[in-house]
Amino acid sequence: MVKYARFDHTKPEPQPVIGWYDTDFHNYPNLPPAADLLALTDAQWDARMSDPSAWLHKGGALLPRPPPAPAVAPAKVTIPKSPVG
Amino acid sequence: MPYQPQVEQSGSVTPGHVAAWTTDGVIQDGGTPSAPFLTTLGLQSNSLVSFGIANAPVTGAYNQLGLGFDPATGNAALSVAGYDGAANVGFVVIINGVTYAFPGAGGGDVVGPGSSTDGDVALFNGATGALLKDGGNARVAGALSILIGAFGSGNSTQAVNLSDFARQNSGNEGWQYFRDPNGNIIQSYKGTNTTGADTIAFPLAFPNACSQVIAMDADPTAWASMEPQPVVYGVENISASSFGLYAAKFNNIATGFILTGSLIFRYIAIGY
Repeated sequence: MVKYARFDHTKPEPQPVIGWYDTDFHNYPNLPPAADLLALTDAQWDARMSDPSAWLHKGGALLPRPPPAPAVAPAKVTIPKSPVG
Repeated sequence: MPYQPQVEQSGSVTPGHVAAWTTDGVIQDGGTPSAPFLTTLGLQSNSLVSFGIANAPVTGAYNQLGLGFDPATGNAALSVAGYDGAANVGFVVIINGVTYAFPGAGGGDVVGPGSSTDGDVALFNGATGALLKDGGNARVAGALSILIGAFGSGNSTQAVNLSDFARQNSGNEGWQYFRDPNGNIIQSYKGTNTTGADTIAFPLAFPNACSQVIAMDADPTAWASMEPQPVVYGVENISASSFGLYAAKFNNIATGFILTGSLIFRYIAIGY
């Protein structure tokens, strides 16, 4: 029995991990297709808890997602005066 | 001249029988099981077999039924053993012609306590399979039916397993996962979003489906900072393994809600 990370193999690499499956703990009646699953080591499985949504699949490897770029402040918007009624 | 006791014999005797006093100076045959004469037989015992009955002369293999006290424990003991190569034999209790094997051979004959509480469950006492004890309360007034088998047992009539109350957790504000015996699952998590329109993967996918996710801000103290506006969260695209989380924050410059990342959120998800 294996633990898996799920990704969408139809998307270009690196694909974000969109699911985590522990087949020791659960009997999944509809496990995703094998093409969308990456078998994990126990260390990889434990590491997912740092942020389950921050992992990527690329070339059969599990990679942490790079931190996002600093946010850019939105452009200043000139607010028109309300029409005088 | 040494004392010469004068003892008389009363009646005929049988070789191998014990002698019993009839009266002063008179002895007679001690009798047989069907015609006993001996009335008492006292033994002082400090060994396992102080009174022994063998099934053969002690010149070869034999089995012996012994009565005495076990020196190892001090308990009174009724023992059966084979000697000098004799095969072991069992022990039975015969009551009014009915034979009861001891210990029971698994045929349903068991030995219980001297008393019990009406309605309590009975438990085996030890590993012999032949002794019962009172198991405590289980006083069901009506039928105790199992309608749904324990989750994951594959048995439609199996009662609940305690292991089916599964739980995984990682401390305060960490991941909490709970599954009841019928397969209902609740899990919660606290994380940080990335863009404001993110796919959030559950730490452990639901086996079948996720029915609801409720998400909210987990950093309300930030409301009082530079941009004192709460965040609006929305959830959609819920699947068994993930959901779409949208987080929008009012921006004074843009004068509107814009999707925002690096926000701390928490959620509770329910599924099965």
